[in-house]
Amino acid sequence: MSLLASSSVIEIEVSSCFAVAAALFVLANIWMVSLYKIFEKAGESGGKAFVPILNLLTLLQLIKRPGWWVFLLLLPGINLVTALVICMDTAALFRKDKFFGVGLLLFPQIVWPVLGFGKAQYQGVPEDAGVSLWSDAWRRLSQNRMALASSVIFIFIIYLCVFGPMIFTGHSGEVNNLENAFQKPSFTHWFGTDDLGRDIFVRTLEGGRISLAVGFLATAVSLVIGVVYGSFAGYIGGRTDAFLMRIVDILYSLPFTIFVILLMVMFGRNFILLFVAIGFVEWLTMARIVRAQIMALKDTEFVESARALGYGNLRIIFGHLLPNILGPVIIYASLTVPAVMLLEAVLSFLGLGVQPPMSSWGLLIKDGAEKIDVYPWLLIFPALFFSATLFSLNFIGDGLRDALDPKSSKD
Amino acid sequence: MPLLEIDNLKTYFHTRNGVVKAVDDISFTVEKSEILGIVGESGSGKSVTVHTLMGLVPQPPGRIEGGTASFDQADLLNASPEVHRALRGKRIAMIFQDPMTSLNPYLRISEQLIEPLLIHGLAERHEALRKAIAMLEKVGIRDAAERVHSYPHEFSGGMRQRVMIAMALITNPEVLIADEPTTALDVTVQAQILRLLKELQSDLGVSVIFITHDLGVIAELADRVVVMYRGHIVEQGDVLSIFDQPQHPYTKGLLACRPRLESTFKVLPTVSDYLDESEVAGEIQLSEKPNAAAHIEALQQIEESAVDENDLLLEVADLKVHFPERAAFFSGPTGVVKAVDGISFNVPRGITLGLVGESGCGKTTTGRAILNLVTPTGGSVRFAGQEIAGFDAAAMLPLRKRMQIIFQDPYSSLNPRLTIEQALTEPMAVHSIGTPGDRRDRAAALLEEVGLEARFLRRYPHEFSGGQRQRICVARALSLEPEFIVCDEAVSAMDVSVQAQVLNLLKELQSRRNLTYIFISHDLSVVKFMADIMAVMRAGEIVEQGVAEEIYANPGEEYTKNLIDAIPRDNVESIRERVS
Repeated sequence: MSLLASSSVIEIEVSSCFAVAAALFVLANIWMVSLYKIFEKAGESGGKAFVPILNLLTLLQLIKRPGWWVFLLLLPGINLVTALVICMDTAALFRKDKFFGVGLLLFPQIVWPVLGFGKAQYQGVPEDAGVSLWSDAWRRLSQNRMALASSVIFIFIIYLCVFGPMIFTGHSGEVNNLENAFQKPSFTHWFGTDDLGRDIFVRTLEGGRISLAVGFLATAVSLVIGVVYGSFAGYIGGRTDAFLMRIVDILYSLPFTIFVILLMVMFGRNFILLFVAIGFVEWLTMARIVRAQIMALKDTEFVESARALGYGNLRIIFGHLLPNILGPVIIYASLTVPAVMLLEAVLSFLGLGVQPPMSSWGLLIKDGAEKIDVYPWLLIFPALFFSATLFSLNFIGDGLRDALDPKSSKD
Repeated sequence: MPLLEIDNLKTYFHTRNGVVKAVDDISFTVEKSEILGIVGESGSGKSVTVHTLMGLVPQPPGRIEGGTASFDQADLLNASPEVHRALRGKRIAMIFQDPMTSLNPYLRISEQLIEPLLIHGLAERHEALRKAIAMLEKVGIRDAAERVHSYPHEFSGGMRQRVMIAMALITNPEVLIADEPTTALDVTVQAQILRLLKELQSDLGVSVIFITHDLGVIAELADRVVVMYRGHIVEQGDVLSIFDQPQHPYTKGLLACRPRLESTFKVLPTVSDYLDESEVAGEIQLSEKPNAAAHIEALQQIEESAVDENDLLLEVADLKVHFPERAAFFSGPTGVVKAVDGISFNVPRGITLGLVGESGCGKTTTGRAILNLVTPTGGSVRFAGQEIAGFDAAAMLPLRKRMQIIFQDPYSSLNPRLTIEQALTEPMAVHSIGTPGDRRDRAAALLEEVGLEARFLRRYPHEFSGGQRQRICVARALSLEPEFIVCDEAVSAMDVSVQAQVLNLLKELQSRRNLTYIFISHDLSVVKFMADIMAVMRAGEIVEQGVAEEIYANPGEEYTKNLIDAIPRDNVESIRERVS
C-alpha cells in the first residue's frame, strides 16, 4: 500500500519535472523562433537565432552594442541591467517605447513574438534620437578615469564580499579553533587568524556583507523618506512646509549617540535597530536638500505650464520635479553610503552596533586596534578593505557630481 | 586717425563639437566721439567682438586666430593682462545687459562707484566720493548725496542701469561699450536711458559702441551701424544709408521683419524672405532671393475670417488679485499688494486682446488669474458663459483642454528631462485622449503644424534654439485643441527675425483654428501687429481699452500716449531729422 503510494508520488514528481522541462524547452524555442523572425525582418540570416551565443552576438550587432556585452550577462546583478538595456534597444529597433522594452524583459514569451510575428516594422537603430541630459552625464562620467576605476574596484569588493564566503569554504569565519589562534598570514590563512582561530579573510568578507548592507539599506531608507518628505514640504510650501521642516529641525537637535543608546536600552541590542537609527538620522539632510531644490524648481515655467495643462500634483512632483533634482539626490546618496558605513563603524567601535559572532568592518577594526602592537594583521586587512571602499565611493560621488552638475554641462 | 581700429579679427572657439567661428574676419573702426551701433541676433558674434577687445574672452576654449586691434595705436590683442586691466574701466568702460545682476548686492552704491577711481589711482577716497555724487546727479538720480549710500536693491531696474552708467563713466573713459543695456528694461525706461546716453555722450565726448539686437534703438541713437550675421560683418555704413538703402539681403530682412507702428502687414516678412543661405564647401554662402517684395506682397493676400462681436468667449468683471504681505511666520498680514484691482473686459471669440503696460502693472497676474493659476481674490471670470473664477484643480480639469497659456521664456517652459514626444503626448495622456499610437501621430502632426519636422520628436529641449522651443511650446498648448490661449510675453525674449516667424505662426494658427488670444506684452509695436482690441494697464487697473487701431491713432490717456511715444522711431524721416 505504502509502496504504491510512494511510487505514484515519484511518478508525479517525475512527470511534473518533465512537464517543466518541456515547458521551458517550448518557451525557449518561442523566444528563438521570435528572434528568427526578428533577424529576418532585419535582413540577417534567421538561422543564427538558433545558435546559442551567436544569436546574442547578432542581436548586439543589430542594436550596435559591443560584443563583449555577452560577458556582462554572466555577472550576477549586472546581467539584469544589461538585459534591460538590450531589451529597450531592441524595442527601439521597432520604434516601440521603453515600457515595451520592460515588457520584453518581464514577459518574454508574450512580447518577443509580438515583435517577431506582429506588424511591427524593423526600422534600425534610431538615428534622430536626442542626447538626453542623462546620456550626456553618462558620457562625462565615462571620461572620468578616477570614477571609472573606483567603480570597478567597488564592484569587485561587492562581488568578493557577497560571493567570497560561498567560494572560500575551506575556512569558516565563525567556527572557533583555538589551536589555530593568531596565525600569521600564510597560504592557508591569507589574512591570518584571530584570537579564536577564525580566518580573517573570510571574516573580513562576511563583515563586509554587513557593512555594505547597512550602508546601502540605510541610504535607501533615508533616500525614500527624505525625498518624499522633502518634495512634499517644498511643493506644498507655506505653513505645511514650515511645520514639516520644524519637525526636521527638532529631530536634528537630538544627540545621535544618546538616541542610539536609548534605543538599545529600550529594545535590546538588535541588528535591525542599526538600520532604524542610522536611517532615522540620515534622511533629515536629504529632506532638506530635496526641499530646497524643489522650492527653486516649482516656480519655473514648465511646472506652471504643467499646471495649466491640468496635470495632477503627484504627476508634477514625481514626473516633472523629481527627475530634475535626481542629480543632487544621486550625488548626496553616493556620499551618504560611506558616511553611513563610517557611522556603523563608530557605533560598532563603541559596542553599540553589530554584536559578535556577527562582524562588520567597524567591529573587526575595533578588535584589531586592541591588538595592533602584537598582531597587526588583525587591523590591517579589514581597514584596507574599508578604506578602499570609502575611497572608491567618494571618487564615484565626486565623478557623479561633476557629471551631473548642470554648470559643467556647457563645456 | 580712428580711436579704435579692428582689422581682420578672428575669434574662434574650439569646442568638443568642433570649431565655432564666433567672429570671422571682421574689420571696423570707431572714431572719436561717435556712436557706433553693432546690430545682430544672438549668436552673431557681436558680444564676442567686444569681449575680445576687452581681453575678456576665456582662453581656452576661445582663441584669437588672427587680425589686429588697436586702441589709440596701442595693440589690444597681444597686450598683457596687466595692460588690459589698466585700460579696462579707465579708458574703456563697459555696461551690461542686466542691471539687476551687474551690481554687487552686498555693497553700497558709493563703494561700487568709487572703486574704479581708487583702483586706477585717479582720486583719493574723499575726492572720489564727491565725484561719485556729481556723476549720480549727471545720470539723473535725485538727492544723489543721500542716495549714494543706498544698496542696489533700493533702486528700480532703470535707476540701477543709471547707476551702472555712472559707474562706467566716472573715470572719464574714451570708449564706452554698452552691451544690450536697455534690453531688460521697459520701453518707457529704455527711452529715458537712451536719451541720457545721448546727452552724456555729447557732453563728455566719449565714443560709444552700442550693441543691440533691436534696430529701433540703433535708429534712435547711432551715428554709424555695423550689421553682423554669423560672425561676419555683412554691411556697415552711416545710420541713414543703412535704413534708407540697405544693400545686403540680411539687412533688408532685418529691417522688414520688425513690426512697426506705421506698417500694415497682415503677415510679417521674415529674413528668409530676403536671404538665401546655401552651404558651398563648408562655407555659408549668402545671396539675395529674387522677387522678395513681390513674394511678401503675395503673402498679404489672406482673408480674415468674420468675427461675431456678440459671441463673447471670455467675460471678466471686476477681477481682483490681492497678495497678502507678511512680515514673519506667526504674524498676520501686514498689508496687501493689489496686483490686479478690479478690472473688467470682454473678449469675443476669434479675436486677440492685447494687454499692455509697464512691468509690475499686473498684466501677467491677470493672465494667470483667468486660468486660475493664481486664485482671484474677487470678481468674476466667465468662460463660454460659465463662471470659473476660483475653481480648484479638479473643477478646472475639463476646462484646461479649452484654455491654455504660452510663457515668455522658452528655455524654462519645457522640462529638460523629457523628449519632445513625451512633452507633447503627456497632456493628451492626462486628459485620456486617444491611444498611445494616436497620441504619437498627433504629436508628429502638431510639430509639422508649427513648422518643425516630425523627426525631432525623439530629441530633447536643449537641442533646439529659442525660437524652435517656443514653437514646441505652442505645439504643446495646441495638443489639447484649446479655443483660448494666453500668450504671456510669448515673443519678448526673442530676436526680431525669430519673433516675426513666431508672430506669423500665431496669427496663422488663429485663423486656421479660430483661436482667441490674450496677448500680453510690454512691446506696443508687437501688440499693434497682433491685437484687434486692447487694454492698457497701470498699477493693477485698466486705464484705457477699446479697438486697438483707434487707441494707437488717438490715445485717450497720457499714460498710453507715453507708452506709444517711447517706442523707438525708426522711420527714415525721423532718422534724417535726427542726423541733420
